[in-house]
Amino acid sequence: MKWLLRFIAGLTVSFVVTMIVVVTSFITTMFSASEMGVRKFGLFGALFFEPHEQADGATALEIGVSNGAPIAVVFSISLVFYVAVASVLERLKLHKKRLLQADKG
Amino acid sequence: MRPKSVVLLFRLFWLFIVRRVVGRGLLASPAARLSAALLLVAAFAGFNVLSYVVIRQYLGGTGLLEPVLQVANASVGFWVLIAYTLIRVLFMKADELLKLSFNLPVTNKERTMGFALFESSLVLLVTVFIFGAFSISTVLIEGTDYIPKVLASIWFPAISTYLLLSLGYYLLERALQALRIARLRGLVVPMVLAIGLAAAFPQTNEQSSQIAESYVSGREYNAPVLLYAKLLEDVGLWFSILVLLATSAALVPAIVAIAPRNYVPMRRFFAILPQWLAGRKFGVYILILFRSFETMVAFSFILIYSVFAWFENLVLPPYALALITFQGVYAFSNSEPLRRIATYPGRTVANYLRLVGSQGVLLVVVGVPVVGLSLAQGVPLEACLPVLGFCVSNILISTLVGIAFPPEKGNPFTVIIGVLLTLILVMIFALGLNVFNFEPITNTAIFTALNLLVVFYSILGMRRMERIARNEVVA
Amino acid sequence: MTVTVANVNYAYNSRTQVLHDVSFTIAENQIMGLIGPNGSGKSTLIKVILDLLQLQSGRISIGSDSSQSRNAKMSSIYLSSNDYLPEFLTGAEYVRFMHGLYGEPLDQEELRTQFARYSMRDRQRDLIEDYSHGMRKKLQLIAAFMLRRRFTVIDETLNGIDIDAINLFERDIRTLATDGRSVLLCSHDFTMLEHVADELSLLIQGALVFQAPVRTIIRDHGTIADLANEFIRAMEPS
Repeated sequence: MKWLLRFIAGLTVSFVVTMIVVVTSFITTMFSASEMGVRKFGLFGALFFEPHEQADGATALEIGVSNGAPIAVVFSISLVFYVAVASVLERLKLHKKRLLQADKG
Repeated sequence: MRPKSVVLLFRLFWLFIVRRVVGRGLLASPAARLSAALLLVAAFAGFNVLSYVVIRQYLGGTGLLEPVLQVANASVGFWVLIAYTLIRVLFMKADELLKLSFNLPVTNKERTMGFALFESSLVLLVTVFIFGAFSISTVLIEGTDYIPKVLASIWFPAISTYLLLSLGYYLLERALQALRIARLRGLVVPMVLAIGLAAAFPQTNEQSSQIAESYVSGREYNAPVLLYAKLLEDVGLWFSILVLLATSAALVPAIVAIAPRNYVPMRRFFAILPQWLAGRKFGVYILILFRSFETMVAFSFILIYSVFAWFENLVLPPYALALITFQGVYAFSNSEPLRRIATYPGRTVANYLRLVGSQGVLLVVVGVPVVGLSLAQGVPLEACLPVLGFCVSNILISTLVGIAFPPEKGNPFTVIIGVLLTLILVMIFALGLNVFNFEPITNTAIFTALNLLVVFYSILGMRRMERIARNEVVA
Repeated sequence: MTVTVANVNYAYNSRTQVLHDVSFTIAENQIMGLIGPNGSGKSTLIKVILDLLQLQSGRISIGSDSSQSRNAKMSSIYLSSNDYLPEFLTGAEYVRFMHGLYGEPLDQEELRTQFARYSMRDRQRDLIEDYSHGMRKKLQLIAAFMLRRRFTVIDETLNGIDIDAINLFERDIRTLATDGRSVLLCSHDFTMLEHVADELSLLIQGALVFQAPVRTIIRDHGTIADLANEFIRAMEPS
């Protein structure tokens, strides 16, 4: 149960981190694109942004994912990082508990 | 009145906020506090960068910044009113904060003024968040010469509007005391503010379009709200500052004079709905939700908005319904006595279902007439369904916020940080999923999964709180 | 209902031991008074007995059931020293809610009578939000006396209520402790304890240092206050 909870927490944290990275990259890409009809890429080619001028003069935006691999990498790195931090924290807690018990004894 | 006492009270209130708000629930650990602070700073910095980039890209060098600043000036009153409404509604519940000062050797007047000073510092923080990014960006783009214009167009009107609003509020309090209905101010004051917002919105819109029209046709536009900017242009900054000081010098003593001399505790619950509901656990959860003044406030806002939308012919999906779904923030802490008075508090899952179920009942009760009104105005049902989906999701999320950042009785400020962090995360998710361009069915599946995760963590959080109360785990 | 507390120890953390090997028994039809200085562990002991704090070591049984069992919880009622009252309910609704929790039918006539007896006539339809401190305490007592659980625990609930209500309470609590019911009454009101308690326990720094029938205490020491003073003097550093 403990490991299942930790796994779910890892997935949640990684998802949140990935979303933050995607949104930040997207905003950066969006504001670095200024020419109409030119496709700009962000997050190592994972995201694209392309403004078009429509017939009525309005600007249409085309956005999306061109390559999912960098996003998957971000997710995996976050997950590994979370698992590593959680394991170290768990060991430190155990160590503290042992030290306190030794102190009591 | 001794100014020293007022300053001491002001410091005491801030100490209360720092100790009792920034350091509870999830923010109990220093690492969580640091992360939350960094997230807020990053959000404000991001807001600034975004504002800078947008203004530079679309307005820089076009000469359009001048009328945009005028439009911003015209809308200052409306935005300050929004900030004031937010803070005022929060302060309605801040009895605990006032009670802190009851055993101190201060007069009621000093207490009121200390509280007013504390409140104005919070309004200032909210206003900085609203106008800060725009002000900084315009000065960065146009240079330091623009500082007087920003001051006279944004900050001077903001200060005067706030003082006028405070004066109006204390006048209203005095009137309520004279009519012996001061205990109902929790309901009356938000309703008056909501009516104010409903009146200010079309006014602001009208003025903005008049400014745009005047700019296009090369005419000069004058209105009382543009007074400070006009004085700056015609006479100079020094005169504009002088008028601001004179106005403030007239308003502040008026506020001090009109501030109530005695404190009347506010009614927090209204005895509505039949008493047989108290015989059932679910019934009691319904009672707590329907009887609380927060629900009444949200309901009155929705009612005023609906009437306003009907008369102004605003044909929009029932977005206002979302207001009622923020009650989840208080659901867990308000119902805490129900789980504490019995030696057997019931199963956690059952208690969670009662918490969200009662909010579901409230959503249905308020939602049926509001959606009906939208349909009658010609909004298609397909446009209303996503709003209802959002409302259900918001009930679950706000309930989780209330569990993770439990607001205390008489101290509503604990909720602010939770709500802010949640709004940031929800906005990131919504924008992030938009980037992925998924099919609607995939988006629905992802949102459902996220909501299930929210339910899972809510139940886990409630269970953990129960275990902390039983001293099974350390907080 | 016999309540047995055997060898109970309790610590909030590794440094703060609150209860030290506490043991006692509350017999059927008995009112046990519990006294002790502030911070002596009275409320902690009560919470451990009622399973509101997790039992760490020792054994507690309420009747034939363990204190953790659902049966034990449904047989007990706890009147806490803190105000955990749902202020959004009226007085009558609160009593109705408590009856609902214990699955008992509510006798409306008795409800009216009890409110009148405790000088709260016509206030049962008012919200608890509008009740004074004393009225809130009286409301808790009314609920407890109407529900007549087999084990009633009262933790300093009587602080702040008027003399008429105290006199009524003394009569009602005696009536309650019949037909096999037991009461644990924690209070700093020694005079009231002399009137109603059968047995008295004194808790100091988490240890049960004295236990005897109240009649014996009055015979040997004069009053409970005298007994308490003797212990305080003995504890003072010389």
